[in-house]
Amino acid sequence: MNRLRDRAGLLAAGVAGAVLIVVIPAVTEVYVQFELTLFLIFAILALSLAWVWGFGGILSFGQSLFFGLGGYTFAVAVINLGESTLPVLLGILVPALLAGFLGYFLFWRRISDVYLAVITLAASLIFYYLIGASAGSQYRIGTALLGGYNGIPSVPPINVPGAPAQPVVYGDLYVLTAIVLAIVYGGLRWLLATDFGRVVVAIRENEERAQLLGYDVRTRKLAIFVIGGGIAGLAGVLFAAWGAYVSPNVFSMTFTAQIIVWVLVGGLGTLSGAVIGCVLVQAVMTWLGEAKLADTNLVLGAGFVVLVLFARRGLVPGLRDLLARIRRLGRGPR
Amino acid sequence: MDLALVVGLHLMHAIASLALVSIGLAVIFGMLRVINFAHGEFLMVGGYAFVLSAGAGVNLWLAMLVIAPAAVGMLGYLVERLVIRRLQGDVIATILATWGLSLFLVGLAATVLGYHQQGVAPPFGTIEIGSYTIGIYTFFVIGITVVVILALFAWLRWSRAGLLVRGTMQDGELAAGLGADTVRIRSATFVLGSALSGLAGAVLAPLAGVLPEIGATYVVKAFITVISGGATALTGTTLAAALFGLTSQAAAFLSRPVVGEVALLVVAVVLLRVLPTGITGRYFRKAL
Amino acid sequence: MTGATPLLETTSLTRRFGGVIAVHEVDFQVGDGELRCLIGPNGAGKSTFFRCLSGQLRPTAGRIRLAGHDITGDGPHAIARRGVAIKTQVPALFDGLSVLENVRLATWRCGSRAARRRRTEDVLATIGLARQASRPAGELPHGQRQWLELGLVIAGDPRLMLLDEPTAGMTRSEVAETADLVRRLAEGRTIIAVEHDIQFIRMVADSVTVFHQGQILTEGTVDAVLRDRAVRDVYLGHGRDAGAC
Repeated sequence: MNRLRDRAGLLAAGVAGAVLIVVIPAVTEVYVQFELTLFLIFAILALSLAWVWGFGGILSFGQSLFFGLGGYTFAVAVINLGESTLPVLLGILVPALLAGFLGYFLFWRRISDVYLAVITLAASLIFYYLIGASAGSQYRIGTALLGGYNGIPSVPPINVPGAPAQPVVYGDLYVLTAIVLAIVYGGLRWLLATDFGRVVVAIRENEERAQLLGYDVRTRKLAIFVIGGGIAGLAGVLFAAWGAYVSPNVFSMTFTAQIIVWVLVGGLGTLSGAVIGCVLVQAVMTWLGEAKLADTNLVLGAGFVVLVLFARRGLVPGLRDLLARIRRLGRGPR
Repeated sequence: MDLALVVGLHLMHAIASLALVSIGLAVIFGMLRVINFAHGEFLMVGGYAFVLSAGAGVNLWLAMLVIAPAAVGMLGYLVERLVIRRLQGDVIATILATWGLSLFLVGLAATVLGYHQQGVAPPFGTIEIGSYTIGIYTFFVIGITVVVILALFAWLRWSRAGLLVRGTMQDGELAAGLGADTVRIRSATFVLGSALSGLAGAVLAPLAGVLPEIGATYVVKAFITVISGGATALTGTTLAAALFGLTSQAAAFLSRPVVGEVALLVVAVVLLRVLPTGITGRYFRKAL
Repeated sequence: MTGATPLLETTSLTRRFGGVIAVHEVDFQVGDGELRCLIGPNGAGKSTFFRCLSGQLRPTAGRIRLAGHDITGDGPHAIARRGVAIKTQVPALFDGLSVLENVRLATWRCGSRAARRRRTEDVLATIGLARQASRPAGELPHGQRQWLELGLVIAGDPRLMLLDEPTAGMTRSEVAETADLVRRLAEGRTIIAVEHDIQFIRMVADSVTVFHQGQILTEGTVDAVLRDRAVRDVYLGHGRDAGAC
């Protein structure tokens, strides 16, 4: 039964991946792909939080920190080096290292969820203020000006490894992002099926029992957090390359809250939910912004309150509840 | 001498504004354990209630001390009744719903009033201390913060209603068993917290101005202050506000404002690492 | 009590909660291979004592030695790796995972893949839940949850097992079965069990330690302790537990 559902889920994920990577580029215009790329980048970011929070039980307000740091690292490195291979790797490595440092700081002392959330939030805001205050020509790393709240403009694109003259942009960047998303999703799924992943799930189910069986919960959480940080950093790299731009806004509270909302909308504790929730929320926001029917915040905010009141556990479980209720109504009172 | 006095005033003002911004949240999060992401927007609504009614010719003090708290108190009543109560303490659902509420309020303010800053000039004018000029309103902000904190403290400590509230926070089921209407008490506490946020928004409006998105600048500091304060909401928040206000203002004075902001956050991070249950988690456990 | 070095030894072990002293300067020893029961009225500090031994609580003062090693202040996972396993008062299981997965998680330090599989099967057979292997642990009835947790405890082949009320909430026949199971498990192992059920204690215990107000009141053989006047006073002062004695 369980295995059957797993197989169905894997099949659905495979079909979705094929549609994203093969079908969409074949049937859509480049500008559509350009917009979709952003959704997929955010979906990678959402996956990082779904992993850290939904499976590691770490309510991190710091995913935007790792995302932004990935973007900034990539931007600074690629401006200095002119070739993107090493900058991409650095954009994953530097946030992962910071996650390691923060994680060591946090998990080696029992700190409850709310405090952990506040510490990670404070850490992102520290970067927001610091980088925001870096306007002026004295704040530079190599040839890259940090630019304060204006951010770093004209970030060079990702290029084919070893060939700076062959940039990966527009449609190509879309395909690259879709492939990265598929790899990250598949990689996390694979990780969950390994021995390490089973322990991760066990910790989520009952942290105390896992400890009493001799599993060092701290090292596991650290590993989860570092992996999540690296994934968020990778999303940040793609983001900086996509818009050729990165600014301190990625560290802001608003953006941080948004990532949390993506994951919650899709349903905490699932990986696919994060992707679906993220794409859905972003699509609605974009559509509202373009349609200019009413203020985006107004409609989105009202939508959320209603959604929470009537589908509390997220879309996927909520829809299931709704269907059950309709079926019961159809049967009528006994 | 003059410099010392002025610096001292600035420090006290920094502490007072931080405490003022956090006090409503101290009641709502600290006592009810409700994570209200729309806290900043409650302040924003308070600010608008004050600025708009003052603009319409209402007496300044009536607008600030009565209309703004009443308006946000009413908003709080509706929010508690229609949203918070229905979520039955589900933390995640509350985060989501209040985040949605915060967006909604920003959008509403922007739709009705537009995305631009409005304000009222600080009353009282200024005085000279040696060669420094300081707004008399600064004294007022410090004074009203002290009054609010002391009043809240006294009310919780000595009034029957305060005892009921404390009892309900400690053990809702037990209090209900003893005949307390805990649903109404929780609702009233939420309204109180909201009204305090409204007051804070109004008091700070002459200095900071109001615009739909101003809540975001308040909410993070308020959360960090209240959470660092720890288990006993009122004492903890006051102590945390003192610590953070002092650090950030001192750092800002010695260097630049941005260093002050960063110093506040760094101190908060280190504090929570050293005292993982907040200031009052370890000390002052018998306080309020 | 006997032998050269006791397997577990606490000296002046103390744990305070605010102003309450739950465990007060307890000097306790248990020898290798012994099966000891801890009894005492509710609130006597037995569970707190256990939680200190397993590392879930950090003692306020005093030392804990396991086979001569000082383990005071070690984390629960570190103590577990030294071969101490605990069955908590309220069964702590991985509710969302199947019975099989639960046991498998407990056997991961038993060597090769094949060895672990064999061990998992053994454990399931021992606790009599082989047929329920694919059921989620959260769906098991109460008695079976207790057994499953016992299974998790024995799976890692611990040197010392701490059982906190293994028969809580069980029917008479389940208690007898559990006593039987515990006696079988005791072969070559050391067990400390907190119990209220006198039938169980008589069936399994070599000796009994009585806790009262955070301290050890007395120790000895089952019969001697149960005949002790001081012990009777302690229990009669606490009406609810009096029936058990």
